[in-house]
Amino acid sequence: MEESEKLNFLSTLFPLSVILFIVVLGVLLLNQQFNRKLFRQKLEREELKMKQQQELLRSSIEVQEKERKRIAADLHDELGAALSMIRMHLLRLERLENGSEIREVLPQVRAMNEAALASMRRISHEIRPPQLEAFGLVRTLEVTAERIIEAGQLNMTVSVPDSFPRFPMAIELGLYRVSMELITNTVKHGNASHIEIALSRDPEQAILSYSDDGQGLPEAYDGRGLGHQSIEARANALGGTFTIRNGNEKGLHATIKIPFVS
Amino acid sequence: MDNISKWIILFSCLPVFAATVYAALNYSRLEGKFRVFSWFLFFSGVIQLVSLVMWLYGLNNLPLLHLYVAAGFCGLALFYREVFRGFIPPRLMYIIMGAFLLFTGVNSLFVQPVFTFNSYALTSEAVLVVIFSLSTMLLLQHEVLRTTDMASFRGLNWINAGLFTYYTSTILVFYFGERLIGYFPTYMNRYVWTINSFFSVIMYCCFIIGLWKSRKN
Repeated sequence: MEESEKLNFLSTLFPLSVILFIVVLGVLLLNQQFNRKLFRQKLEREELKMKQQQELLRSSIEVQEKERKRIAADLHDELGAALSMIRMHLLRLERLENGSEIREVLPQVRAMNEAALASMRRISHEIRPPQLEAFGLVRTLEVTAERIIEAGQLNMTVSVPDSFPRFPMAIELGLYRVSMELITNTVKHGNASHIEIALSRDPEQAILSYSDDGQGLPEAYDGRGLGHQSIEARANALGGTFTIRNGNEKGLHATIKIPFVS
Repeated sequence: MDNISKWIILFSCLPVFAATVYAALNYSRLEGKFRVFSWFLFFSGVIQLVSLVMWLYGLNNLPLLHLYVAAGFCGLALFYREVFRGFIPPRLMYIIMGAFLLFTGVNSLFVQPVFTFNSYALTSEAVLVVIFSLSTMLLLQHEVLRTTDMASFRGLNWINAGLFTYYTSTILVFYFGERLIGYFPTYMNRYVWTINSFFSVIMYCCFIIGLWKSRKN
């Protein structure tokens, strides 16, 4: 009797061991497979991240060089030309002895000097608009819209909720630069008649939505353009995100979200 | 005692129907893998309803259990196929499903006919589901998966925990219950079913919570 009970006990415990062994083996094998896949995915992600960082670095250097080239061209073509003319007139003045002739030339020199000053102001404003610091992003964008409308090619609206606050300078400058980059793209390639910028905020981030009614993104758009990468680099540097897509009917729609600490 | 068992078994059906109705109402708001899981719930709901009617009319509903084990496992295997997508080759799940269907078919035809209790198929199903659910628990420990989609993660956690609880108890209750029952009086058989119903209620409650947590806003 005892023997048969032992046998029953064994015949109960043996299957239990087999079942446990199967469960453990199955879990181990699946887990090993998961770990292998996760490790591979992690490596791929790291590689992609590194590639993106290299790409961003390359594009930000390119953007910087492009900007330097533009500033150099502006200085050389506008300010340089005005100063050369002034110098030429001053040399002429040095040779003149007749007071009436001197008085005749002086207004020309003054006019050229004023033109040079205006050029310098314009170049300096383009580098960093003074009203951004003094009056904030909203006013700066409104002034930009007024200038664009005055130029007569495009219509532009800026919509802002009443409660839209001032943000730290880095955020306002970042949003301003992104807006300018997008506006430049619309003017150059968009073939649009209207630009709309909407500023808003949620408890954690400042949001700028940009849309135009132009031809939108090209079919083969891969986001590798210098402008796109420059905006993305700027958003990333501020811990934010940048998305761009074609509008529902036409044109393009871009959104940049920058987090802030209340 | 008979009356108590009857009421417990009747009560254990309620969460099954509740989970089925909840899944049907929220189907459009569920993500891919939870939709696949809903198919399993719909099937379970229908089988539960038919078996309840047969039980109330005093008919032997064991053939339904044979069907439920085979098709139910396929539903769960498809669900876990979605959960493990990208981590294991998709055809592995089809191979497991095919092997299980072959085994349960042979078992129902030659070893444990459809009017008898199919403990072998049920235990095999439970072993496989316990392997899947334990592996899912380990997989969900990885930080990368936790941060990608929190709602999906929470929902999956609940559903997986429900499956693990029920099928672990199934192994213990049915397989060892059947063997140990010989040492105890026959009324123990009722306790085995009552314990199983209790774990079934827990599992379906976990399903409802899991589906609720995973809904898309």
